[in-house]
Amino acid sequence: MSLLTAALLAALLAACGGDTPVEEPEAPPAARRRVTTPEQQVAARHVIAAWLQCEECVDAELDTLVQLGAPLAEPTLVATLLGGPSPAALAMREHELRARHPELVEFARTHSHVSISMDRDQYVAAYLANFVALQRIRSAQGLAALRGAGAVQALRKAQVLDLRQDVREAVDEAMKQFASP
Amino acid sequence: MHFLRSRWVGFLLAATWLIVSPADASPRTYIKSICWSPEILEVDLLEVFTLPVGCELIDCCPGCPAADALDWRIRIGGKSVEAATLSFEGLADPAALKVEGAAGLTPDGVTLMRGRSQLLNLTLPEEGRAPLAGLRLRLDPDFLGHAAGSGRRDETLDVVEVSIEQMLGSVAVNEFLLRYRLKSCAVPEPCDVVKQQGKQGADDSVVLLDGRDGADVCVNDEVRRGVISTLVGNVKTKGSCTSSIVGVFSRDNAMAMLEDPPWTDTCGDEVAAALGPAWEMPVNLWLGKMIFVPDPGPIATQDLLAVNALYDENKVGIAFVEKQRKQIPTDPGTLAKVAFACQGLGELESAGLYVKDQLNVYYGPVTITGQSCDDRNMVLVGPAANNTTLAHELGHALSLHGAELEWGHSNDVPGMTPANIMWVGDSKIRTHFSLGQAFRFNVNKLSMLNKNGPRQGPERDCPPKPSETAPEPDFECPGLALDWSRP
Repeated sequence: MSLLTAALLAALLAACGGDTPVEEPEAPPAARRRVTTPEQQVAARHVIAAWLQCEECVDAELDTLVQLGAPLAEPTLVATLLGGPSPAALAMREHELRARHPELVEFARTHSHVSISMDRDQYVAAYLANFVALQRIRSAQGLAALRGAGAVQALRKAQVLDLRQDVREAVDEAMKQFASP
Repeated sequence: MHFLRSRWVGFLLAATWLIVSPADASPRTYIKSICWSPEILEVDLLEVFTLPVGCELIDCCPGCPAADALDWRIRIGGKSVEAATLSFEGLADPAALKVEGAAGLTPDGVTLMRGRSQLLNLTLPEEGRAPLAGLRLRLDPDFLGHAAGSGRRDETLDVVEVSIEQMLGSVAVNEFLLRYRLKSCAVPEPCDVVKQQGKQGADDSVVLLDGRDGADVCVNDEVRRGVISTLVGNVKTKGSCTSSIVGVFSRDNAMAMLEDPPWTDTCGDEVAAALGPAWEMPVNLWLGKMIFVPDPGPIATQDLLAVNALYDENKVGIAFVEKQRKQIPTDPGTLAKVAFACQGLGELESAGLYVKDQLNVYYGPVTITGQSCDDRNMVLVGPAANNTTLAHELGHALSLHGAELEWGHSNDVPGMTPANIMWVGDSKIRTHFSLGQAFRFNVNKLSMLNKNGPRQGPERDCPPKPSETAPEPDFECPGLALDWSRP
């Protein structure tokens, strides 16, 4: 966990009344840790975004999310699982991919040891789909780790969506974790 | 008890937000360093930054109401800035946009002056693509007088900052901080020269210098530029300085590194740096069925292209050349080995699915984007990888690794940004290796470039990340974030 994330989370947890880092079974279901200030909402968003966007996830992003707790993190994870990343995140990623492809075409033209295998639309579609899939996979994994009250219902809803197979497997895996004691 | 907690919480929050201002609290910071010249007054030489209008997360923030419009809080600082312009594409109701503070509406968008301003009522479409904004800076022509930039050292002439917070009511739901450092990039008076020989391209090479200068000061990590000849001022014999090196980084060429170059104490030295073609690292592609992708071959081809382009654009001097590609047998046993390839090296080698002392990249049904194994010649790529995952994992293979130093990731390293390829956990597409990283890829003993044998040359043992036990600056190793001004 980065020092910054740790500091933000410590402040957030303390402000929201969290003495223990992990959700306790007897906790009241709704908003035990209620966000009270805009700064705390920003800090919570950064913790959630760090988990959704992490790749190797070696910086304790999931632990930090669990410390944040289900009441704060679960609604965003549910929304991302069912709806994918935000329109702004998608638009930015698409813009960057679209801008990058001509540069790769030019590089391939001038370097004989590489070649290009996708046209611009295929390239944008392939990596944009991976971007969406990764955030949905992280959402499913995050919901399983948080074990919040709304997770099972959200995962069931996801199971009937037309999801990519790797996302579907992540959803099924998350459901299995709820089945186990 | 609650009272005490509230007091303590208030103190902690205040301390947190004093130490880290809201803008810096976000990792979404973009830092650019550019050399000042009269030409950059031509606005086309300053990049247009594209920003999305909208929330970072799909529900904006925990507890946020649905967003149909956002306000932007903008701060522009820097004495070299005359104005900035913002143009928008895709707002639901462009006519609803209002401005306050140091801003004015124009037919094309908004003009922003230095200081603070607010854009109100940036309307979001109910569905479909999010609007995009294009930000462009306009520099003050009168600032030229401050930019004489004489002398041997680079000087920071100005730091330009543009901070944008996207607000939903009182909550920041997305943010952006651009920081331009305008440098003088002074060219020394004619004296000693580094001359490149055998150069393949026509790019402006980067020359890294350690040594004793004309004033008998030990210079560390000085960066100079030149297509063929680079003026470096008076560089003397090493004397009592710890390090005297010349490193040359250029596109399509291997990095050249001279230790203790033959400088003399007088002007007129010409040190030749012989540049060979980029070091070739053979790559073996092992292609497994990736759950829903029957043939990952086109993805592997595309990834290898992206890797080569990124390493070349950043003047690393390494070419990754496909040696072979082979489908991995689809029987479950072999696939399982590949899925856990980090633990199945011997079996993979006997099955003809691993080549010793070469890079081996496995595309398979792993639930990760990518991974560099303990055997750094082995890299896994999963189905949800992005277009820079392989470049990132190969960065680990080239010595940026080690659990005790956060795997060589550039997060939290001062001067690094989400655009860095070793940065993890941001939605920004990564494009950037620093000069400090390129140096390590080439000269570190643990880099597979040296361990596998393609490169012969001086080696160092530079840490993948600064730490308490390996603080920077260090005469042996350039700072990890040391860099050159693009382009």
